[in-house]
Amino acid sequence: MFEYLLLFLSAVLINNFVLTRFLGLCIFFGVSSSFEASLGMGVAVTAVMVVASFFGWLVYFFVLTPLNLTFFTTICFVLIVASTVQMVDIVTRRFAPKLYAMWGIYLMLIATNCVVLSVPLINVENDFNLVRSLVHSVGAGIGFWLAILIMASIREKLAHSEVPESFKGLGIAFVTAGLLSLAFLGFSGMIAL
Amino acid sequence: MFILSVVSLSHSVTLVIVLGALALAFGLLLAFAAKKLAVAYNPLIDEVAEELPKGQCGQCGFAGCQQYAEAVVTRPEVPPNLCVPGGNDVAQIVSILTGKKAAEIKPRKAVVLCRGGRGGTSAQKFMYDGLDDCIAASQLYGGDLACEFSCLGFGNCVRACPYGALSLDGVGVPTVDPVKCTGCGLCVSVCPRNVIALVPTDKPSVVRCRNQDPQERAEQICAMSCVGCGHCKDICPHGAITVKNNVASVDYERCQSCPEPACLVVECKFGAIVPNHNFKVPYTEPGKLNPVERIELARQNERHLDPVERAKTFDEVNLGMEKEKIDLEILRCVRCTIPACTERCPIHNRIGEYVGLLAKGDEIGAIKVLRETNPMPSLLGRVCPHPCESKCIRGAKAEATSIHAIERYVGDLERRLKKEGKIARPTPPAGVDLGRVAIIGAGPAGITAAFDLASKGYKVTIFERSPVSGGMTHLGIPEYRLPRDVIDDILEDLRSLKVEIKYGEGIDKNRPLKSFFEQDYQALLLAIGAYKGLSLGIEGEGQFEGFIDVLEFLRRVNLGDKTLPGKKILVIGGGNSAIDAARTSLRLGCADVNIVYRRSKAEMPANPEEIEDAEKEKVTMHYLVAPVRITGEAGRVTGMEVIRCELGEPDASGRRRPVPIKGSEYHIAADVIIPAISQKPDLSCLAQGHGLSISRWDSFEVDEKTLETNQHGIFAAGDAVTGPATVVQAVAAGHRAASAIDEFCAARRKQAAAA
Repeated sequence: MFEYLLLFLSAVLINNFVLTRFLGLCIFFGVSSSFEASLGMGVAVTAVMVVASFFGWLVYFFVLTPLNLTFFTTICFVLIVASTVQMVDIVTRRFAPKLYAMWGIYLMLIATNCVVLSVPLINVENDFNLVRSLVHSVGAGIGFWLAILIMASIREKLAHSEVPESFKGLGIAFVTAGLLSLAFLGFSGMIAL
Repeated sequence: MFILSVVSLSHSVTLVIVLGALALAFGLLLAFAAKKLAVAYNPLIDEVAEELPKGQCGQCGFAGCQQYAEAVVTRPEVPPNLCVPGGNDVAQIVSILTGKKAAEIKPRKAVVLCRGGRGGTSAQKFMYDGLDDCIAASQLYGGDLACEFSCLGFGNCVRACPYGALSLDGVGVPTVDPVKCTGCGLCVSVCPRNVIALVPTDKPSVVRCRNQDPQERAEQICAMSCVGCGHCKDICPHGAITVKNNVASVDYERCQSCPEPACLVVECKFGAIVPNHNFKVPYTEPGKLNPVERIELARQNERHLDPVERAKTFDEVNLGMEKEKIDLEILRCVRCTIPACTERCPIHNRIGEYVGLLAKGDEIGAIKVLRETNPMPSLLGRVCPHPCESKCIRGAKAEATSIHAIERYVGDLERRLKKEGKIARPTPPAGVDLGRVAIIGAGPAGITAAFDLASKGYKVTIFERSPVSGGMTHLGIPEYRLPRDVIDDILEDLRSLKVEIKYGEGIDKNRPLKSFFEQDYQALLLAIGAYKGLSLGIEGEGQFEGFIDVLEFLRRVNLGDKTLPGKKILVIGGGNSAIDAARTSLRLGCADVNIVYRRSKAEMPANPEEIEDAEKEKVTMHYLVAPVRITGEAGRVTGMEVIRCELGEPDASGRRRPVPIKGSEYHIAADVIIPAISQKPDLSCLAQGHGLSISRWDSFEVDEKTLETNQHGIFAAGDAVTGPATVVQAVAAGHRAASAIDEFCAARRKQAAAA
């Protein structure tokens, strides 16, 4: 049990996918200008990540490994992620129209996103079992959520403050992200995995 | 080798098969899910989405245009007018498509309500040393002290605006570029002083005809072609509609979006000017005036006594307006969204608000609103030179609303109701004792400060040197302009507030300022006014009997000495006190009263109404004449030698400088000469070594923000600081001094509690 908790914490804080692995930067900078949007985005990413990890794990261990086709994983997973997004879109529209309305355009934005693709890949590379890989993907999603919410809060404050002309917009956002990343580096070594 | 290639071939085949199978599986799964889980899709959603601007801005509250389209089609509670960038046009189309009723959509724009610069509103911006942030300044000092509604001018809103629509202008007040403003409201959220607001910019009317070429327009058979007749232009009270090249256009900057727009009831035969929203004429109740009739109302006149009869007595000349006239005058006020009158008023009376309450018949409410800013409405309604009216938007095309008459009406109504016991006089808060404050001088500034401080819970003592209260309003302003029962009513209020007035006492040479602090007064306010006449600087001045300073003269008459000083009176000067002295002389029985003024009538600083009244009462005016020498015989004034002037270049005050014409001297005979040029504070009452910083005009030098002098705990306000000014300016200074003294005492209490 403790092992799962460690795995979860490591995915959220130590190996934060945005601030330590630098994945998913396009949505991280694209959406983080508004807190509300970041909230929706974080939920959508987490949901898709978990479902994609599940399918990815099944396909990897029951189809690709017996047939010796593991070199083929990446392309396969692209297919899986894209289909998952579609699937989630259809299912939520039918069963959770409120959630669907909240996600809106963000769901489609992550159909080809690197952070969603990388999580199932890392799961299978590390030979995680099904439960571990699910815990890991939930952690990764929450880590992403945390990062984007922090960033959105800072950027909303930045909008009110005086930024030198040359730093305005993405410039100051990158500087902020760099500082955030440094702060998250402080977690490394906290848990030895 | 061969085996290897066979192996890799078989591998590739497996790969293709697996990939195909996977794709097929997912494809089938998705197809199955789409079929099984399909939500009934309304094609109307796409139709509506097609009409939306697709900016994905999210201002409607939905995540993107598609979501909004879906919501508006599928959910009955979602209105068709949420698309902000689309505005009214899109709302109309969506409402037609969905069959939902479109209430009007009003795009909102930011508006800066404070114009700054005047009445000390934003003049304070440089007072906060080291601060450059409105929120910080507001938290540290409460911002500006005189006005709760004032721009601090540090530009937080300018920095916050993501669209660059705000900029700071010269006086330190932001201006909004309506083209760039999107109505996002970020500036409103960062302003700590509530100076910026979002107002609906929905204009009452639009001109649909855009065709500028009259020839072409005439040839077109166009149902909505503007002919430029200008009916709409004539009716708009704000001058917001202009006609150029025979086409009318609406100036969105000037249009005030009146609550009951008159331009909409103009029937444009050509349909070129149309209401922009669901305006319906039944604003007009039966028996009441419709908006057009209201706009066409002429300014009502106040009733005056007959000029010949009134010049014999001290009865009040201006009788004000009757209820019927006031009711009409109230209807003339259009109650602007951005009231320029409130902005101009030194004490920021909320004119539109109380006039609106009066129009609804809520007289008590109107009294309450007026009393919040104005401790003496009855007095100010009579003697204030009403600078507010010069800013009234109605003045642009017709005459300004008679704001002072309405103020006087409300004030008199309040006095009557108080006398009848229908409304209570102000009382001090029960069980609050914040300490003692001494005020020197019971003039408008001192009385206002006493009002404010006493209602906060201070025990206030006013020291007044003369035997009466009111200061210049009693000693300077004659009875025919301000009946004394108005002042008595103010004193009654002060009594009810438990303010003590000690007559015949004050500061003098034997009573140093410090002695007040020894008597347990926490703070001292010097509101001693400006009572010392300036000298003319000419030969013969003050050498003969019959040469009386104007304030000395008025003071004597106002304290009851009604003897005639002479047969022919000559008053020198063009201010209100010169006119007062002349008209008072008439009432004392003098038949030949003259005023000598070195500029022309247009430059006279006295109220135009006063000048007019004086002329009607047969005061002889000598314009463009400057005094040269006072002549006298046997110790008595015999007249004055004067010289004719012409107007030269404008001077620093903006008035044209009088230039004497050489060789045009002549003599005017008179047995009394009253110089009334200007006054300065009389500082002879101060004990030696008072240590106060005094300007070269003999006024107290004070901190602009707090009105505190260079001595700790001693404040100064009114004419003693500004030199002779209007009553309303003194009232404004009184308010400001009171809040500064309150802050000062609060800081002391805090210190004492800490110690």
